[in-house]
Amino acid sequence: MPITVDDAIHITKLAKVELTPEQIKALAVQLSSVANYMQQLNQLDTENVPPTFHVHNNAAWLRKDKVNLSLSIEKVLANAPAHNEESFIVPQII
Amino acid sequence: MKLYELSLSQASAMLRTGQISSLELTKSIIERQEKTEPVLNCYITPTPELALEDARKADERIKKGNATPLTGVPIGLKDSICTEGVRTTVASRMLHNFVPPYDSTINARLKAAGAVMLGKHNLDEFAMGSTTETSFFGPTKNPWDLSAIPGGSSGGSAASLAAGSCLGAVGSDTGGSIRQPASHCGVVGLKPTYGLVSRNGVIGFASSLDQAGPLGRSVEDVALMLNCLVGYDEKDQTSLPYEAPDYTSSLQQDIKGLRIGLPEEYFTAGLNPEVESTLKRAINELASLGALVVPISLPRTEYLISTYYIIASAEASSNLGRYDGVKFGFSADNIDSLEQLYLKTRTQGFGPEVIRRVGLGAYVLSSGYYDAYYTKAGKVRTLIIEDFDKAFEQVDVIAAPSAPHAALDLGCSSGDPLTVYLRDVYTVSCNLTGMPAISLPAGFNSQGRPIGLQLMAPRFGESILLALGAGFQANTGFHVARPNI
Repeated sequence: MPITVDDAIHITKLAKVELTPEQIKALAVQLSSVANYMQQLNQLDTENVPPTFHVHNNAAWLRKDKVNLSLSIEKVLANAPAHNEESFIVPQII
Repeated sequence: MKLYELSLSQASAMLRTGQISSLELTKSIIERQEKTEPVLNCYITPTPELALEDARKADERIKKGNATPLTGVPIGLKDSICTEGVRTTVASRMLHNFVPPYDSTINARLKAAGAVMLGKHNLDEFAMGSTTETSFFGPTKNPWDLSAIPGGSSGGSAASLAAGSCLGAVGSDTGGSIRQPASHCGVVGLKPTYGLVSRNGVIGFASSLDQAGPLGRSVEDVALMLNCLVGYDEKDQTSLPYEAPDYTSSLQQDIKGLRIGLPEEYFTAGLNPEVESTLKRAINELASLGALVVPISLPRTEYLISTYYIIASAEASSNLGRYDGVKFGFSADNIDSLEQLYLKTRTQGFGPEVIRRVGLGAYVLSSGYYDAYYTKAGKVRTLIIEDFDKAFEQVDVIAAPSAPHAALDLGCSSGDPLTVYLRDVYTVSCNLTGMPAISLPAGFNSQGRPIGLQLMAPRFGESILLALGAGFQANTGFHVARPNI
């Protein structure tokens, strides 16, 4: 099914980007072409097939619950666009 | 032979016997870097001062007698691999000013081995692409033909190796990004089994597909680097507690009787005739060395690209959610709300291909489409793994092109995205299944652009790939050819 301009606007909201109307139209066309191609997967019967999301099924290793040293505040804030030595600064929310 | 024409193994041997010093070798490679960079643009951040410091330390270590094979050898890292104190940009405006406060496990291992760090190689932005043209820092050119792409996304790594502005490189591969540029630049590239090389500190694109690995001028080089890179890391939740062998011992392994599968679906009317004839010659070469060629079928080949792009985009959209202008990287000006900060930072920080993939990922994960796309792709991934598991009951490796054609001209990534995505058909399977694969220099097309032979093995089958690669290389000369630059 084609991706409409409204779909493309919804996608930009999900992806947290803002595009111009021309860019949104272009995105709709490009993603439509890709999404239409992907419909081919419906040719395969996968009724009783479990999905694979991790090839080794080991994504749940546990470690002992002990405190390890982590990064210092200085290192954590070193790349911050705005900070006050102890926190990141963001625009007021409330 | 000029020092920059040496392989890593040759340089390593000369360093350990004292024939050359690391300082001398590194100075020579830095000169080569300075000469070729204005033309090729392989590096985003060259680090000559750091390299010279590393080289001096390496020379002391070699004198003391506790060197490793990589001690003193000048190596470059793809700029998606974090290096403490050295800018790591992932070729994006979003991280153009990011200096990692910690080392990736890969860099920590290379430092412990005494490797010399030459700098950070160019790539497609966020590793999303197969041309290196989407880099915020401009494209890299192919040293074999300056009007051609080097491939991608590890294009800077492959081109730098081919040109001699490093003697070893570490790249990453999510859908072919080590193997395809290795093929386009006439070098060896190996994507390891998923889970063997730690992803701690490798800037994530698609977490169930990404795997870093070595590029080198010879199979020996790749084996030496693999020995350094492979190992369990508790900081990577997907790292495997696997006891790796000494990969250099595979290089003398007998290949007689090894069965090479030729999938009928790969050699269709659409394959470039020069790639097809080069591959057939390469496979005949392996057969003349005693390998057996077995026709096989991989029936779900036509569904590979859809499956890959749904999963990769979905995982990318999740991984790239962290780029918000708050904690690090690019942050938009003239904003008056948090929402504005997110929107403007991401719109201005990401390039168009990244936005396209993050958008596609958001779509396939969105309510109403999640099962139809993402879950469905996960199920087809299971069927694709079954195809390969069945095939490996009959054969030891599977042969394929590393790319449908030799390097295309610069500018080939503009145009319909689907056309561009379909070019990854021969490489994405190994990322979906977690299998290792190698690309070996196997010839040139009529324009003089390199063509690679890809061999894929079952999980943990790196030794077979290296053994076949060593046999192939010993009987051909493609890996010693150097571009005229």
